[in-house]
Amino acid sequence: MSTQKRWIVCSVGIVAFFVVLLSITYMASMPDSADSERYLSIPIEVSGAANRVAGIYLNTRLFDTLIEILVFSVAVLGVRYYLSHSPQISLPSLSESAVVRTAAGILGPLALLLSVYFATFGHISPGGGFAAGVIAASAVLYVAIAQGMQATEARLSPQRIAAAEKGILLFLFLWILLPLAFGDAPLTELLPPGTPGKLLSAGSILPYNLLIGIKVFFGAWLIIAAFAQHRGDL
Amino acid sequence: MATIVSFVLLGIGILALVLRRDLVIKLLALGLINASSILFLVSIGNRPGGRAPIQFPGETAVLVDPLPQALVLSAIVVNFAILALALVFVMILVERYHTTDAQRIEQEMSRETDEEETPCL
Amino acid sequence: MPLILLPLLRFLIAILSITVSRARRPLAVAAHVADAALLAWLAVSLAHGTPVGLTLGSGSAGVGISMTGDRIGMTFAALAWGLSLAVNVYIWRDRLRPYFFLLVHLLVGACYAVSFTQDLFNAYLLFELLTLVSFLLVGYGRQPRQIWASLRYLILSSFGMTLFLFGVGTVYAHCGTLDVGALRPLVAASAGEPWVLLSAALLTAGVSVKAGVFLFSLWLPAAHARAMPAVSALLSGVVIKMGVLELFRLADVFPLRLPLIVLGSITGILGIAYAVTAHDLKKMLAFHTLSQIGYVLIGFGADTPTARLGALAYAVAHGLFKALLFLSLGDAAAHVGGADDRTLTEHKAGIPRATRIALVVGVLGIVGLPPLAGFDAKAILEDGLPSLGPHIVVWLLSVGTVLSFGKFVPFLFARSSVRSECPRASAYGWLGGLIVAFWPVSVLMTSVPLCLAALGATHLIESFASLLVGAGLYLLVRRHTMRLPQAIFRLEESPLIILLGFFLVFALLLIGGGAG
Repeated sequence: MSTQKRWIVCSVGIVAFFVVLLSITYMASMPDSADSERYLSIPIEVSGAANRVAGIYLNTRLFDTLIEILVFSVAVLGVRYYLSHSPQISLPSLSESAVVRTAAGILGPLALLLSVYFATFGHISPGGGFAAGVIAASAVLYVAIAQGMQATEARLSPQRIAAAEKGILLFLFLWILLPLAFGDAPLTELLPPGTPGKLLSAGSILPYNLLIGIKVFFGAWLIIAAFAQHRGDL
Repeated sequence: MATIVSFVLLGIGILALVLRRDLVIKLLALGLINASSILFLVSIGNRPGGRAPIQFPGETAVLVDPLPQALVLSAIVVNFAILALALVFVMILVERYHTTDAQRIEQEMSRETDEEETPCL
Repeated sequence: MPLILLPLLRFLIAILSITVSRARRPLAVAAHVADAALLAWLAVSLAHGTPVGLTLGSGSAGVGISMTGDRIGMTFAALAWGLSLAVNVYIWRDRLRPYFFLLVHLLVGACYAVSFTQDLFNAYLLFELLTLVSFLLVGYGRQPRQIWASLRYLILSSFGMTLFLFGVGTVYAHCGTLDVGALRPLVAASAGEPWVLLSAALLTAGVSVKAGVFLFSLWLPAAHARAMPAVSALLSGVVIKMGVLELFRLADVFPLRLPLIVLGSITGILGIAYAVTAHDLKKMLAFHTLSQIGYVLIGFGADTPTARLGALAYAVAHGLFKALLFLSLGDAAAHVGGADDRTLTEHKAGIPRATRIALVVGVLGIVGLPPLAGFDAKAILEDGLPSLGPHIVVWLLSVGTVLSFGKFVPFLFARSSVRSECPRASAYGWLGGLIVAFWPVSVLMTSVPLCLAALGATHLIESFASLLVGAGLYLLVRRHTMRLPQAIFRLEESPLIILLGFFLVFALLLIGGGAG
């Protein structure tokens, strides 16, 4: 057999053995579903959020979410740093057809409305800040494809959005350290939990969702704008 | 069942990462590997007959475990960040060497520097 | 309280460094002063014997994220502080963007958080933050070689962390908690069951990709060698230790004794083999990082308290002299125009004076000249090794280290015609001073009887014997050439070798579980 074929057979063999080993070992001791009830046994009145997942990642495990926001911000900064230093290539820009332009004019604002709904109601229905930010960025991308990058950048200037994004990150960290002024440990909940199911409930989860939604929207949009600027157009 | 599917996806992702020489395909394979871990985590939280973990006061339905879904949210954002940055680096390399083939990039790079040619000791 | 303030404060200063970018140097100074105060507060609480721990978020210990301050965490946090101080002094006058300062501060803050966290998923997220930040730091210079090295790093690290995530999921499915303290009794109660083996192997394989174990961390030589000197110092000195720290936390929960010893031996021996045959001196230092991690793993695998303390002390000592070597070698290479030994020997007068002294101190430290850092820590480690086998391996590794550092001798001793700049010299002074005066530092970390025993006659004889044998071997094999397979470091082979390493760990766990 040629070296190439031997290589392929070897790799497939190793990976197949790996998958079979994992499956057999996993099936050999199937988990008992009663083993993990710790998170479901916390009453929802503690966090005040009807959406239990939001109650976990924005209340009990808020530190994880903080690290994740840092990862996202570092990624945005990194993308902008590397693309701003790379030489720009310019490709000819094609104008879009009337169908795309009309559809974007209708669906774009609809998607933005959806993203605002997800961010605001993230604590009582599925959704949350991250999904909201990504939907908003996709909506604006759609509109930018339709009307061209220059027009969109005239309204959403990357410099100001970058400054706003850093400002939100700073505000988030100061908010998290605020309990120190009251003698508590950082990351403790300051706002009251309220009744689960109402719009104004769940303590700081609603403000967190809104802030995270705006921040992810700005960040994802900055990444898209950096790529577009590098290429000359979308 | 979904757990086994996630293992198979992991295997496919590893094979694609190893066997395909195109850098963009390698990144897609990495995305598949990450997605398989997300599928695994979500499938672990499954409960027989469970509903989505949204509970209003006074309800007593059986819910699926909410923790893996919270973990997965963080994992998705982290994977997105990694893919975005990896894509930027691939773009820089491709523009420099005018090929997406990983082996050719390595050959060009070692031709520029002759660090592997000097004798040892 | 200081446990959570240390990382949060560093993150805050990181963000301030890019929002108020004019103040980034004073902010760095303020960061180090504040961290020193918090670390001192922590050390005082530990010395009084009060258990330091807190649970973040509204939940009890098994539900929220717990952080505990123990001796291991405190040691690595102090190491992170010391090395980041040295690096910040080193780059004081360099023209670097605020974005660089942000990355370094985030790296140090994440290292603080990893030192104290007890939660497995929190460790995963912190490792991903460390991966991203290291990746961006390695590629900072935007040279194609750096970009390719850091891209390989990112892909392999992401793959490893995915394996870790599979392990986390398996553990959670069976135990319902992610907290290391709560996991310990649950795992011990089901020792020998398949899911324990599976999750232990997956978690170990995942963390070993970050920890500098030879079969898993094949990205390490290229990434550490091609980065800027300050970045290599931080990566080799601190970030690798965070992976090792997580291995230690896992070893408390799962029966990882045999895998640690075997992995440590493999890493040590193969690392030395590649280091001896490497000509690019920065790459040689990176291979040495791999092999020195072998010492630490063997020490922790031996499972006696003395060996553990020795492993801890060696991790700190290695951080110190590896950082010093990377910083000074990088400076010398910048002055001379190349990092391979021929260029350095040709232009050896061009190496600044303080850099030369720093190189000498670093080399003496790593080869284990008494009573410097390497000798102290190795002696405490060897005192704790129970049987003769690991002892011989450790001694062979010492001989190999001396042998490979023989390459430094031709350019170490000459008259310098250039003076060093003040920031560089101050950084060398800080690190070099700690290496030379390591004995009192090791007393702080361990205890007085152990350190007195370290200066015993057997250790002195062993150390001088390894120096003589290593020097003799170097003179013998100086003219020979040997090539080891370089193909394993390519992107195609590395994931498969990680899988092979996973099989090895799984098999060792099976054997070890059956035996005890």
